Order: sequence, then structure tokens, then C-alpha cells
Amino acid sequence: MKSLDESRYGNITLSVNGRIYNVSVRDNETLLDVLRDKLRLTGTKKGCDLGVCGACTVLVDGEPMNSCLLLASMMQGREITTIEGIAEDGRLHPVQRAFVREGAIQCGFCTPGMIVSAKALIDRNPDPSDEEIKDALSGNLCRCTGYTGIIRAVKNWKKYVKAEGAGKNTGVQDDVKRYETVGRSVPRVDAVNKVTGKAMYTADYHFQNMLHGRILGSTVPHGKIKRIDTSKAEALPGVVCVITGKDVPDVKYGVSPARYDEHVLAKDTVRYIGDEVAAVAAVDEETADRALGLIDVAYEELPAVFTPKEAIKEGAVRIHEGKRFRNNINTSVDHHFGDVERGFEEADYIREETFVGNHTYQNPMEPHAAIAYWDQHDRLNLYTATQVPHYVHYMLAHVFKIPLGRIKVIRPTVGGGFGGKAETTPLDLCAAILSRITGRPVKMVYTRKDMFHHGRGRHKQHMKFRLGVKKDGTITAFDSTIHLDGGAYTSFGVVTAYYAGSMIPTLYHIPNYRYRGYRVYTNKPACGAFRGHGVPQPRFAFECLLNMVADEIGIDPIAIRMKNAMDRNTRTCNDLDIRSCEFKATLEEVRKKSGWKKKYGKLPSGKGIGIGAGGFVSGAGYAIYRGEVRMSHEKTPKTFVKKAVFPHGNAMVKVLEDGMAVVLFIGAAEIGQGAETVLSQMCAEALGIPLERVYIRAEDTDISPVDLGAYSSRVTLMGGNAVVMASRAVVKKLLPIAAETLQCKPSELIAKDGKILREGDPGKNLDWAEAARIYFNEKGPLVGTGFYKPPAGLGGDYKGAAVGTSPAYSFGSSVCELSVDLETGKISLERFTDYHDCGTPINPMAVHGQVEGAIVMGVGETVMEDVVYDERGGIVNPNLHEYLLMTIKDTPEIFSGIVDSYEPEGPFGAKEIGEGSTLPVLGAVAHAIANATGVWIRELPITPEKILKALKEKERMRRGGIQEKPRGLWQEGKPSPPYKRKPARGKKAVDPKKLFGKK
Amino acid sequence: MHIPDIRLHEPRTIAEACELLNRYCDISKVLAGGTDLLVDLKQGRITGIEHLVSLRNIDGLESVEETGEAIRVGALVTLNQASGNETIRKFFPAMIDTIGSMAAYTIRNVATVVGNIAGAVPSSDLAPFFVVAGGEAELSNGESQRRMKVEDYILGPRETACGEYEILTHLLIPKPPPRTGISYQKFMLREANALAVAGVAARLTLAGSIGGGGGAGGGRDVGGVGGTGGTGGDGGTGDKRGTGGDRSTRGTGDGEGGIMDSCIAMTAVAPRPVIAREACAFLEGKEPSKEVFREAAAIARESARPITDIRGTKEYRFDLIEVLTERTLEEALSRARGE
Ligand SMILES: Cc1cc2nc3c(=O)[nH]c(=O)nc-3n(C[C@H](O)[C@H](O)[C@H](O)COP(=O)(O)OP(=O)(O)OC[C@H]3O[C@@H](n4cnc5c(N)ncnc54)[C@H](O)[C@@H]3O)c2cc1C
Ligand code: FES
Ligand code: FES
Repeated sequence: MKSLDESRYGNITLSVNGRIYNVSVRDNETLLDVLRDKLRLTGTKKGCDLGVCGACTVLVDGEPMNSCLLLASMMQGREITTIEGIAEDGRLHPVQRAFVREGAIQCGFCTPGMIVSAKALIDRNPDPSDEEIKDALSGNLCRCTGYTGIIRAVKNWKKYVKAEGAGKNTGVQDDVKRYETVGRSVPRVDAVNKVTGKAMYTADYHFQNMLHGRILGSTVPHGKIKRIDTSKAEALPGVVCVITGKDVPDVKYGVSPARYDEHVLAKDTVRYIGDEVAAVAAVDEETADRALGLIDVAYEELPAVFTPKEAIKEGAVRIHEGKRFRNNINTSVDHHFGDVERGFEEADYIREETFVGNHTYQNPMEPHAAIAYWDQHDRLNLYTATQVPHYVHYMLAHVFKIPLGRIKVIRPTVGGGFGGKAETTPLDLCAAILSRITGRPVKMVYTRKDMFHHGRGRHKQHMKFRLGVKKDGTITAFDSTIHLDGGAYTSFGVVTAYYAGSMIPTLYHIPNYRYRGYRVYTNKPACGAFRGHGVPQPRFAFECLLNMVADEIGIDPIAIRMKNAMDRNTRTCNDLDIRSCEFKATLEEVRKKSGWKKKYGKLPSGKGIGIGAGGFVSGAGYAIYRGEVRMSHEKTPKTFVKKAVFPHGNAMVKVLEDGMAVVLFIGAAEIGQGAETVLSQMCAEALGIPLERVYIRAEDTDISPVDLGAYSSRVTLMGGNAVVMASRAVVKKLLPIAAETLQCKPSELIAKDGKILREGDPGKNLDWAEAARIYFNEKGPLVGTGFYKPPAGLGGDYKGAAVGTSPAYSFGSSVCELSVDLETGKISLERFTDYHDCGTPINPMAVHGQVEGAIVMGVGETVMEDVVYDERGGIVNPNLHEYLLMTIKDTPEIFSGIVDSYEPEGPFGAKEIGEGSTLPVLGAVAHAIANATGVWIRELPITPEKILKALKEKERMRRGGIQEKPRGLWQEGKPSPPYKRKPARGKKAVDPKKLFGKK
Repeated sequence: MHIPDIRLHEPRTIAEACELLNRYCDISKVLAGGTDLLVDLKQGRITGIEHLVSLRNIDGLESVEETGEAIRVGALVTLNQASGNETIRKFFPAMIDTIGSMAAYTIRNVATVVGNIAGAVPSSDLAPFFVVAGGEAELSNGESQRRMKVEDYILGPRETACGEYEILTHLLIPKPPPRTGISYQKFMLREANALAVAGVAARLTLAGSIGGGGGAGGGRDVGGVGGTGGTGGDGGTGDKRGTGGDRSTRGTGDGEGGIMDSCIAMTAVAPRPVIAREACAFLEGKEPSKEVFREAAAIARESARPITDIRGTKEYRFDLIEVLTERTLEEALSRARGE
């Protein structure tokens, strides 16, 4: 056991939230660790541990400070206030109420720090200006809200000094009045827990006798493990267990069943710097950390490749064995719909451009965490920060070869995901194994650096696009070739490679369309699914190209979109069925609202305005694994059939015996996006009772029926439909009871406002709860169940046709206004105007929150975010100091609007907003920059340096009298034959060698 | 990610602190706000440190004093305290701007002004300000004090003239002579929590202040920080030369006043703050104008010694220096004119 060196400890006495504590601490402990681990005040969060994110902000003698950079032993005699101490006598502080009401909260991970900073601000300055608010909160990063709601909340805090009761929201757009509860901007159901620090995230849990685990990553980008010596680590006092590749199941796992290619810990080969090699469990995290440093690994280094270009070369080192991965190509797609050659012949103008994306990382504010223990029934209990409890559940069963029934997955409050938490992590698996071996609970939490190494961020895409249009702007053909930099493992990559092509034709009518995609393995962390999955970069490139073409042929960029815009009830060229579609309305609205006509082409140099559009699926049409729910990996996978074998969303509604409360059980993952709130709203609406009586339980796979998770923007539509069905089943049981009392036919009755009433004769009614009580007395538990399966037959019959299918599609347009300092290239964002077609907004405030967050994230991706690698594939900036996220001071003014729309397949007419909201942003920013400067930057991120370089190049050419080569090509005198649509057919992938030969 | 196993010491006097630093020599460090040091320790960027000597309990380091000719900032004064200080606001709006561009509010509540200089990080924002303002570092070894110009104090990345068991107790900034303006321009990649890609500070003193300009050499005793009074043993300051005192100046003699004296210093473009001496020499005696500033900026560019790193390439930094120099001179000029 750990040798006890008492002299390392000292006692301090400090006051925390008015209570005096005497704590024994070591000199190297931070105040943050002492608050969280010793005083168990877990409301204060750890997001970076390096002073940049502000999640750890507390008041020290009234002043806000980052507790991760304060030594606990220096806190002797100081007065500390944490988020738990902001509310007084159980009454929320006005700032907390303002956060609840003004839509300042999503995942809530930044919220405690934000509120502490905001409270200190209004204590010293009760009437802060916008500038002062931004300065005071400048050290608090938020990845979800786009800061807009937060600024609004702090500005309006005084409104919430009194009036604690319910009330209408302020500051947010008017409710949509189609329904009672649906369409109202009600505060989030989890808001109070999030503003008080009571919300429990995975890392906030503590279990008796718990161990702490850490994982060792490879230090070489590619190599064979020759030898691992763990003896020194094992000998370190406090270390309980060390495992390596030999201790983990010989089962590969991953996301796409066709490409499971990861081991829990490397068996013999490591493929990137950070690839998991060993794991340690120890009495505390610090000891586990120290033990990692004592594990001696000898590698035989192999050559490594870091870009698709290098990796695809003949003779390049192979990252994975197997014939199918020739030239390191992990997935290849060749889709051809219509006839592009013919389409280009028909075009009057053709332009070809090359674009390059960036490696962006989701960076949810909450780091991944997992706690595992095996209970008395020998069942694995796993607490994990995930967007996909079901897939984690399924993958644990697969790796450990046990039935789903022997595993229980608990998803505590999750601090954001954006796709970064959409798969099973090494933490989940290692914690389960370490716990199995040691017989103790094991907690494992990633550091921010670990998160970057675990990866699963956006694929960097190298895109070659060719677009043909008629003189009037009508698109005749589009041809694209994309190389996706995949990193060392598949993760979601197969799907990503398909998505990169499949979503382009949803926005515009493209009669002839070709997409060739190659996802290539490289010796870097695996890339995965990041908000907008595979689509934002091609969408950015397409929107840029469309704008270039519009400018070149002299058509207004909005007009060219109008010309080609998707219409409702259309089957796209790649066999996707669009039902509701108000894309044109979004274009029209942003045009009006932004004053486009007065501005486009009329702004002075250095000022720019730009447009981008985008849209996304409302849930993938098919599950990631296609068969039925299976017990374990042993059963052979079923062949793919064009229908959902099992329901993707499932819900259960149970009414309490007195009829005064309803519990909604659904496995949908709340990750900050507001799933629990909108599902509760839909439940209340369908039941005809006030929202206050609905309680949701979604955190435990034992309790709630399966839902596939929070990915592909599926929860509102799919989970919502299941909830509506379950709720209606309950109402159906109540109506006959009420009909008996009211002496009428059940068919004449409806449930509304907490009553069962006769339509048109509301005087005649029975209290809803009373009806429920009668039901219970007579028939026992009042329960309804519901499920949702996407419609059968979605999509075409070609290979990969499943990706991109969805019951419904969203649409949106964004206009960006900014200025560029032409001497330094610095961009100053001014305004964003955004309109979306998300069907019926279930909660407009939540919709705007998604849009505001997506805009700020999207701008960041366009102008500053990038994971930078050194020449050995090591990440140069795996921290929030150097991987730049937009701060509150960088945030533009945002207007978010919703156009009137109704999706027949969605619950109450709803569809998605979460991912679609990101898609228009990148193109709009790039266009505005080009509009301000006269230069197009085709490589993300568009940094000031790149802008300045392009400006200088342009100036150099102007001085030298060099004409810029016309990039587009006019084709004169071609007759345009009438277009005949060929049946959509996917073609077989080309031989990669041929592809390489062409380059 | 943890701070290594260190022992914290909180001495009550400078002598005790120096004694501790002496005892633990290579394995100890001074701890002020810790926003720089603790981040480095957590990331393992500095190793082998076993003792931290906190200045927190030492009296006399927590205030900003106005002492006749100078402002004296103690080693415990945080960035936010400095920027809220009336005296500093009155004399050095440029310092307020500089601090406003640094880190973020919560960090500024902890980070010290002195720590920003003592840390000698090549991208320090305050270093160029102190250099152009003629700032001096006051060092103590517990027994005696010495003083040196900030530009001489910072030797290289994380390297200073601070002796192994010396402490930088105060920074002194001489009150600016009349018709003097100081400005700092920082270029960063986002609006908060961002280090400088490049930064330029400038001071301009216009002639025509005292007796219609000309021969103002004696009057602009920028370095004349005598009479600080706070600590003993600083009687020798009277002998010190003011910054720029080593250069001869030509007053322009006319009423508006040409540039009598100037200093330009840059950050994040060399291992330590660089003074653009050639540009300063060029400016002396000139009538300020856009063209003159542009030319000075082009000369200043040559003084930079930037490298390429994650924030920007060497070439870009050269370009930035030129633009920032011109802008900072413009602003310094309008401040000197009292605009
Ligand atoms: C999120 C974040 C953002 C930041 N942004 C900026 C920025 O924009 N611009 C910028 O310039 N810096 C920035 N910094 C760096 C840092 O905050 C500042 O340099 C700060 O002023 C350092 O002061 P401190 O009191 O925290 O120093 P400490 O960390 O306590 O000390 C810094 C170094 O100086 C030494 N030292 C401190 N005081 C003395 C003394 N009196 N005598 C001798 N040696 C001493 C220490 O031993 C240590 O080596 C940032 C840091 C963080 C964490
Ligand atoms: S955890 Fe302290 S600032 Fe991020
Ligand atoms: S709500 Fe701010 S980080 Fe999620």
C-alpha cells in the first residue's frame, strides 16, 4: 500500500459557502480538486485544468478565479463561494433565474462557471454594458450556446429579481401557437439542476472504495510493440492493477460492423501517437498518472504516413492488414446519377475548384468519463458520458461476449457531445476490465489532451469540385472527388465517406451528379462524426463554388439558389425523398431581413456580406448495425433489408396512481441539445396535461426502453414520434372512462388542459387526473407504450444508398456580415441572419439556442479551429490554449428566425435543427470574407494570415500587370438537348490504383 | 495532469524568501499568481522543481504607489488591481489597454503584473510597455536592492537577470514627461485568452513642451525615478540615466513640436522584447506624419527576429510588425497631443 508520508500533508481551514472546513491537503493539490474530491462539491467543473475554460470558476473573497490554478494550501482563511453557494435559502439568485428563462443553458457544463463570473460582475456593477459583460465572462468558454443567450441573461438579470413563479420568457422569439405546450419556449426541464450545480455529470459520481484509472498512449506514430514492462508501475505504492493488450479480449470493435478495427488496448501494433497501449488503476488519479510514467514500452518503429496523398501512394506502408485496404483506402465510394458528362456538355459555364478542409475537434466542454463496477448479480454497471447509450451497451456486449441483459448503462448528465461522444470509448472498456479484475469500482476521466488523442473529430477533406450551369444559373452537372483523411481507425468513417456525397443533392436540383470519395487511413487519431457528419466541408466548398459561379456569370448569389432550390415532395437524384421543404422561404427571409439587396456588391472594400445554405437529415433512416437487436456478436449478422427491423425510438408513459404525475421513460440521450425538454413537451401535449406534471427518465438502460441515441439529429423526430404514440395510447385508455362519466361517446372526447372534455362543449368535462384514478381503481396501472420505425423502403437500391436516407430533411440559410482589416487580414464578425425550416419548432427557444451555438461553432471552424500535427503525427495543440474556440468576445450579433413549415412525418410537424444549423455557416463566412477582400480562400481555416497572403499575391499580380487566369470556362454555341433522367444507379468503386495514376 | 509533488513555502519577509531560494537553489521557484508557473508545472514543461516560494504573505508588495517621479508596482499587484488603479489610469492609459488585451477576467484577478515580466515569456504583453515607458525592475536579495531597466532584466525566453536568490519586488514606471504618449497594439487570433502573434509598444515625446522645445534633454528625465522612498537603499537612482538619455536629440523648435524622443519595442517576434533602435533614431526630430510613421514602421520591421510557430509564420510576423508599429505610433501621437 501507499506509504504514508504525513509530512506531505498540511491542514487548512477555509470557509466554503459559509461553512468552515478543516481539510488536510498536500501542497500540490489545487483548490478545484479539493472542492470536488474532498468536499464533494462537484458543481464546480474541470474542463481543461489549465486555466482556459473557466468551468472551474469560484469566488475567492468575492473575486472570480480559476480554481484549477489555485493551490489549495494557499486558501487558508479564505472565503470561497462555489456554484452551490449562489442560491440563498433555496431561492435561486436572480442571475440563475435569468439563465433558466433566457435560454442561457444547454449542456450546462459551463453554466456554474458562467454564473459565478456573472454574479461577481453584477455585484461590482449592477448595470453592465454588453462590453462589460463580455469582458467579465471572457474566460468562460461555452461550446453549446453561442453565448447569445448568456449575454441576454446577464443583461436582463434585474427582471428576475422578483417574480419567481412561472412566467413568459423574454428575449426570445414569440411562441408558435399551433398547440398548447408544443411550440412554447418553456425553460429546460433540467435547467434548475444546471444553474445550481446539482446536475451530476459522470465525473461527479463517487463510489465507495473506488479506484481511478488512466490510459497510456503510444509515443510512436506507427510501430510494433516489442516489449512492455509494467513491473515498476505495479511496484508503485497505490497502484492496484496494470493491464496491457494481453489482458483484453481478442475482439475487435468499432462503429460500423463492416469495419471493426480497434482493440481495447493494442495487441501488437500501434497506429498513431496516443494509440492505447496500457491502463492502470490506482487509489487516486495522481498515482495512476505517475504509474503511466513508469511503464516501459519498447517499440519497433514502422514508417508512418500522415496525409491521404502519402498514404495512398503505391508502396506506402500499410496501416491495416487485409486485401480490402489496399493503398490504405478504408472506404471508397463511386456514385453516379444521371450522366455528368452529358450534363457538362449542356452547361454554358463550367468551373472547377479545389478546396481543403481542416481537422476540427468537437471539444465538448465536459471531458469523456466512465465509471464501471460489477454488481452482486455479476452485471456490469457503466456510468458514461455518451450520446449513444444503446451503442455503448451493444458494444460492451460484443467485446465481452455477454448478453445485453448483463449490462446496464447509465448516462448521467452529459456536457455536450457534437459527435465526439457517439461511440464506445477506451474508457468505457478499460474501466469495465479494470473493475472486473480488481473487484472495485473504477473511474476514468480523460484530460483535455487525452480527448484530442482519442480524436473522432471532423475528417479533413481534400475536395475537387466541378460545377456546370446554364446562362440563367440552372445547374446541369456536378462532379466531385473527395479524399477524406481518416486517421488510424474506421470509427464512423464508412458513413462519413458516404455522407460527404449524399447530402449535396438535398438542397438543389442537380440532374447529373457524380461523387467519388476515398477515406484513407493515416497515422493520426481516428476521425469520426462531428456535427453535420461529413457534410460541412463539402457543403462549404459547394456553397463557395456556387457563389463563385454566380459572381462570374452575373447572377445574384441568392437568385442562383432560388433558381435551383429544392422543392417539397421531390425525389433527389440520389433517391432521397424530400417531403416538407421551405428552403426557398428561408432564402427569401434572410434576403429581406439582412438588407441583402442594399448591401451585396455595394459595400466598401473591407466590408463583406455572404450567403450560405445547408440542411440535414432528421435521423438516419437505418440503424448503424442493420439487423435485429441481437444478443451478442455470435449470431451472424442478417443481410440488409430495406426497412427498420427494430424500432429506432421507443417510449413508455406511466401515470402515477393519483393521476397527478406522468413519468415518461425513453432511452433518448440528453446531451445538452434539449431532448428531455422537447420530449416532455410533446408528451404533455399528446396527453393533454400541463408540462409541470411530466417527468422524464432517460438515463438508465434498465429503466427506459431503447433509443438509438443522440446522433444524426434524430431524437426530436424519432423519439418524439414514439412519445406521441405512447401518450396517445394512454389517452385512448382514458377516454372510455371519461365517456362513461360524461355519458357520451369516447370519440367525442379529447384530452386538453388537464381535462377530458367534449370538443366544442368544454363545460362538459372530467378532470384528467380523476379519470386516471378511476382507471387505476378499475384496471390497474395506466401505461402506454409507443415506438417509431422509419418508413420502409427509404432510399435507392445502389450500394451505400442507405446513408443519407431519412424520414425528413431540414433546410436553412445564413447571411454573414463582417469586416476584414486589409492590412492584417483580421476578421471582425458583425452580424448573422439565419432562417431555418425545422418543421414545427417544439420549443422555439431551444431552436434558437441550437442555431446560435451552431453559428458560433461554425464560424470558429471556418476561421480559427484546427488540430495541428507535427512531422511525427503528434498533436501540437492538444489544449484549449492553442486549439482556439470562439470566446464570448468573438461572438457576432445573431438573428435566428424560423420559417413556417410542417413535416407530415414528424411529431406535430417537427424535424431537426441540431446539425442542419451548422451547415450554412461555413460557406456564408467564406463568402463574406471573399466579398470583403476580393480574394477567395479555399483552405480552412481561413486565418488572417491566409487572407493577407492572398491579398498580397493579388496586389503583386496587379502590380506586375498579370491577369488572373479565368478559372471558369464558358462553352459557347452548344445546343442544349432536353434532359432525360437516367435511373439512379450506383457504380462499383474504381480501382484505387487507377485513381492514383490520375493524380 | 497534476502538479508534481512540491512543497509550498509562504515566508513573511523578503529576506526569508531569499533565504529559501538560496537553500533550494535549482529546485525552487518564486510563486506569484501562478497562472504561468502552475500551467507549466502541470504540463511538465518545467521539471525538477520541488519547492515553491510564495510571495503572498510578504508585506509591502501588494500596492501601487505614486512616489514623486514614478509609479511603483509591487510584486503582488494583480493585473485587475493595476487596471483599476487610479494613478495608473491617469498616467498610463496604454498600460490599461495592454492589460485589457491580456488573458481573461478571471485570470487577471490572479496573474500579477510583475509575474508577467519576471516570467520573461517571449510573448509577454507588458514587457514592451515597460520597455518603452522606461520601466525599471527593483530586485532584492533580502539584504540589498538593485535596479535595472526592464530591457536589461529580460535576457531571453524565461531567462532574466534575476539572481538565483533574488526577487523582483517592484516595477517602477517613471511618470511620463509632458507631451508624451504611449500606446500598445497587439495582434491576436481571438479576442480573449490569446497570446500575442505580435505586439508593438511605442512612446513618443513631442518637443515644444518645455520652453518651446529644443534642448529638452534635461527635462525628459524619463528614468529619473529617484525618491521612491518605499524601500531603503535606492538613493542611487539619481545617478541612473533616463531611457534614451544616451541618445542626442534635436528639438524641432517650432510650436507643434517634432518628435523629441521615442521608443518602440516589440513582443512575440524575438526571444526577448526588442527595441527598434533604428526606427527610433529615424523618428527623432522628425515632424510626425503618416509618411514618417510608415517609413519608421518599415525600418522597425527589420529589427524583428521572428520565428514560425503555431500562431503565425515568420513572414506574417514581419508584416504584422510593420502594420502594428504604424498604428501604435499614430495612437501614441494622439495621446502625446492630448487628443
Ligand atoms: C489562460 C491564460 C491566458 C494568458 N494570457 C496571457 C496574455 O494574453 N498575455 C500575457 O502576456 N500572458 C498571458 N498569460 C500568462 C500569465 O498569466 C501572465 O504572464 C501573468 O502575468 C503571470 O503572472 P503570475 O503572477 O501568474 O506569474 P507566476 O506564474 O506566479 O510566475 C511566472 C514566472 O515568474 C516568476 N516570478 C513571478 N514573480 C516573481 C518575482 N516577484 N520575482 C522573481 N520571479 C518571479 C515565477 O517563478 C515564474 O517563473 C496567460 C495565462 C493563462 C493561463
Ligand atoms: S478547468 Fe480551470 S479553467 Fe478549465
Ligand atoms: S452550455 Fe455551455 S458548454 Fe454546454
